[in-house]
Parts: sequence; structure tokens; C-alpha cells
Amino acid sequence: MSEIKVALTSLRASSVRLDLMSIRGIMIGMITARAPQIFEISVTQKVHNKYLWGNFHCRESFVRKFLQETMGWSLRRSTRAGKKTPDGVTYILTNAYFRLVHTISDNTVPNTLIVNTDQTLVTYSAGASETYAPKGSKQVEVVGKDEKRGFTLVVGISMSGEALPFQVIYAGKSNRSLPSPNAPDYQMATGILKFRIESGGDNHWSTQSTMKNYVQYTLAPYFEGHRQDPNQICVWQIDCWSVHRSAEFRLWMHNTYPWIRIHYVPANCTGLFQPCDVGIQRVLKLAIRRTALQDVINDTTEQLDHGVEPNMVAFEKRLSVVRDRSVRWLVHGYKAISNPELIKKVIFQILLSFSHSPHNHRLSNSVLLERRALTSHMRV
Amino acid sequence: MTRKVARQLLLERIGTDKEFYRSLKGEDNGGEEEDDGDNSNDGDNGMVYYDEIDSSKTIDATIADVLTCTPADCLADIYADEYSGSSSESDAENRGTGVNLDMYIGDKFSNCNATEGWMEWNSK
Repeated sequence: MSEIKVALTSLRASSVRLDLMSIRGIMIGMITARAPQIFEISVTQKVHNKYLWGNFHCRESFVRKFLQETMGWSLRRSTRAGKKTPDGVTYILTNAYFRLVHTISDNTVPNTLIVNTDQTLVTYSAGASETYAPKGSKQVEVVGKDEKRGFTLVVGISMSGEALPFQVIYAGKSNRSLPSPNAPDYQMATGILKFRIESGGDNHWSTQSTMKNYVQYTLAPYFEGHRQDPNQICVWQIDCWSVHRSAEFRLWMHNTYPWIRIHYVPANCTGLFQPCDVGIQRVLKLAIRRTALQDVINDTTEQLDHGVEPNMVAFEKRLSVVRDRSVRWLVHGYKAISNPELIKKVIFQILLSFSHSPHNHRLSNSVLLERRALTSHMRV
Repeated sequence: MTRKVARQLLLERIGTDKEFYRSLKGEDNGGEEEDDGDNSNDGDNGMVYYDEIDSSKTIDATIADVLTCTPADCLADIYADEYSGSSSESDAENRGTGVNLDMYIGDKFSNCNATEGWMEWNSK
């Protein structure tokens, strides 16, 4: 316990910005190296208002309590500004649902050819404005507060339950800004899973160019690989982010891939109508977080095993290193969401919910029942 | 069957909602999305931050959360504000309660805690 306090105090003293996951990683690493028997202790855990017995896992709830009560540190929950759902949200969503049904039924689009795509920011860690480096060493680029603190991940799922290869966009203008081919799991990511790793220029955000690349190298090949008829219409559901909505992108799509019909998730409704956003990203981000946690644990145990004193323990923040490590995070994230039953369930939960729409009030009971039947048929 | 039902539903919708019918003829660009609130923690003033992603949860536990609550419950709550009709047991089933979670979880990869099996699995 005292060694953990020393390590955390030293990290804080060196102005390292800390988040709960990193602290938990250091604590687990130190317990693993110094007193692994602690993990054999039986403790109770509150799950859904019931107390269950289990082994000590150094959960985040324990870490929070430890930091507040033992270290006397302040904690703050990161809050994301909630988007207000638009007025008449049920009407808007019901219309979006009918638009989707219209395209699907008019063009006999099978579930394999209906894809939802979403983008999400993945941060390397809480970041740090400074890092530990030996005296006299050159300035070390670290994960900081700027645009290099993370990367954009483009995730696609099909209504048949398939996860499309990821597109990953890192900040930087050349290949030197991308993970090295020697990065852990790089061959798995690019060779087997067909991830597309790109540099986004000044920042890691998607651009016209990267979106076009996504369509050209990931989406269109997926559709072409699954459709039987070259004239088959395919459906692509995306949010109405400015690049997606831009005239340039829409015109390019219309001219280049006229057989891909774009359906926009209504503005500020992604949390309700975008399958990726509703369920898949949570699972994906947790898998990424856990793999990053494993890196912190490994860093800590390795240092202690090599005789580093607790007050000198640090976790890796060099951009080149965490960027390379991020490839393995993504492989684990992809594995976590490659669960066809989960993907289908999330998508059909959204569709089923339209059976409850008050905007069905103009429809007869028989039509309501048939709408449910329709959703059930789409489920197959 | 699916196409027939879809067509019937669409016709009904079109018949009762002229605005929707007109919108089918034009392009839909989804409206304008608000900018994402940047939740970066710049200027932390010594705080330790945490968010909704709890690294101590197993992937299985998160999958169970996803399947047993949102989004259907969220939508149902919104609808409930506007709709006076009562829901039946089958409604509850459709909203996700009573899901047979065994179908979706149980993979060695996803059911390990960070301090035990996960580390063993991860080191292979």
C-alpha cells in the first residue's frame, strides 16, 4: 500500500496528468509484482443492488475510494455535453425508419448490403504535458493536449451482423506519423483483418479524402464481395456530419457509386437511431480501454521486476510508442465487436422500438401488428 | 412477405402524411448536426478524471448492459411521454428485457477480469 502511495505521489509531483484507468493499471501492476496474493482475497461486490462474493479485482470503484479516502485526491467525472434531441423526435425517427424501409423494399436489399458507419475518437490516455526522461536526453514527443492525443476510428457494421474492416486515421502528413509495421499485431490488423491505416494531415479527423478512401477501399469492396447482381442497390447509413452532407461528397458518391444509397441518421439522434453509436461503440471502447490498461500494468510490473523504485515508476507516454501499441488495442476492439448476434440484436432493438411509436396512432391495430411482423422478417 | 408488408405500411404512411410523401421525392440530408462537445480535460488542476467506460467491467458485462437497456428503453421512455396507451408483456420483451444473454456472451476473450484470466489470455 505504501509503495502504491509513493508511486502515485511521485507521478503527480512530476505533473503527469492522470486518469483512473492509468492509476488502476499502476496499482494492479504493483500488486501483481509485490503482493499477488491480494487478488485471492474474497470481497463483496454490489451488482444490480445485490451483494456478490468474488475475488479482489482492484475495480475502478475501489480505486476511486482509495484515491479519495487514502490519498485525499479530487476526482471529477468527465461529462460530455448532452445533445438535445430535436423537437418531434419520434416523428423524425419514424420518418427515417420509413425512408429506410422504402429503399430496402423497393430495391430488395438484403441485410448483408445494409451498412451503418460511424466515427469515434480514441484517445491514447489521459495524456501528459511532461514525461519522465533521463537527464540530457533529447526532447521526447509525448501524448499531450493537442490534436495528436488520439486517432479517429471509422467503424462499419452490416445488418447481417458483420463488422467491416476498420479505417484508422492518425494525425500527420507522412507514413512516419503512422504506426510502424513492426508494431504489435500490425500484420494481423492490416494483413488479415484488412484495416486501413491512414494519415489525416494536420489532425486525425476524417476529411473528404479519407471518407472517399473509406468508400473506395472498405465499403465498396465489402458490397461488391457480397452482392450477387452488379446492379443491386446497397444502403449506407451514416450520420449527418458536415463532410458526409457536403455537396462535394454527395456528388462524388452519386457519380462514382450510384448504386450506394446514402441514408442519414437525423441530426442529434445518433444516440437513438445509429446502431454503432447506440451499442457497438461501448463494447469496442471498453475492449480498447482494457488493452491499454494491460499496457500500463505490463509497464509497471516490468519496471518493478527490473528493480525500479516505486517512486520512479512511470507509464509510457511517448507518442511513437503508444501509437504503435494502439494497433493491438484495435485488433482486440475488432475482436470484441465481431459478434454477429450482438450486432444484429443492437440493430433490431432499434427497429423494434418503432412498434411503440406514438406516430403509429394514425395506423390501425392490424397495421401495427404487421409492422412488427415486418421488423421480425427483417431480423432473419 | 416482407416487401408486401413494407409496401402496405408505406402506402398507409403516405396516405396519412403528405409531408412525408413530398419528402420521399426530395433528397434527405438529415439536418444539421450540433458540434460534438469536446470532453477533453485540459486544465485539470490536479483532478483525476474518470468517465463512463469502466475498465474493471468485463466485455460480457457491457454486452449484457447494452442488450438489456438502451436504446429501446430510451425510445420507449420518450414515446411514453407522448403516448397514453399501455404496454403489454410482449412490449417489454421487445424492448429487451428477458433477453437470453447466453446467446451473446461467454467467449473466453470477453468474460475475463483484468486481473486474472484476461492477463493469462493476453500473455499467450
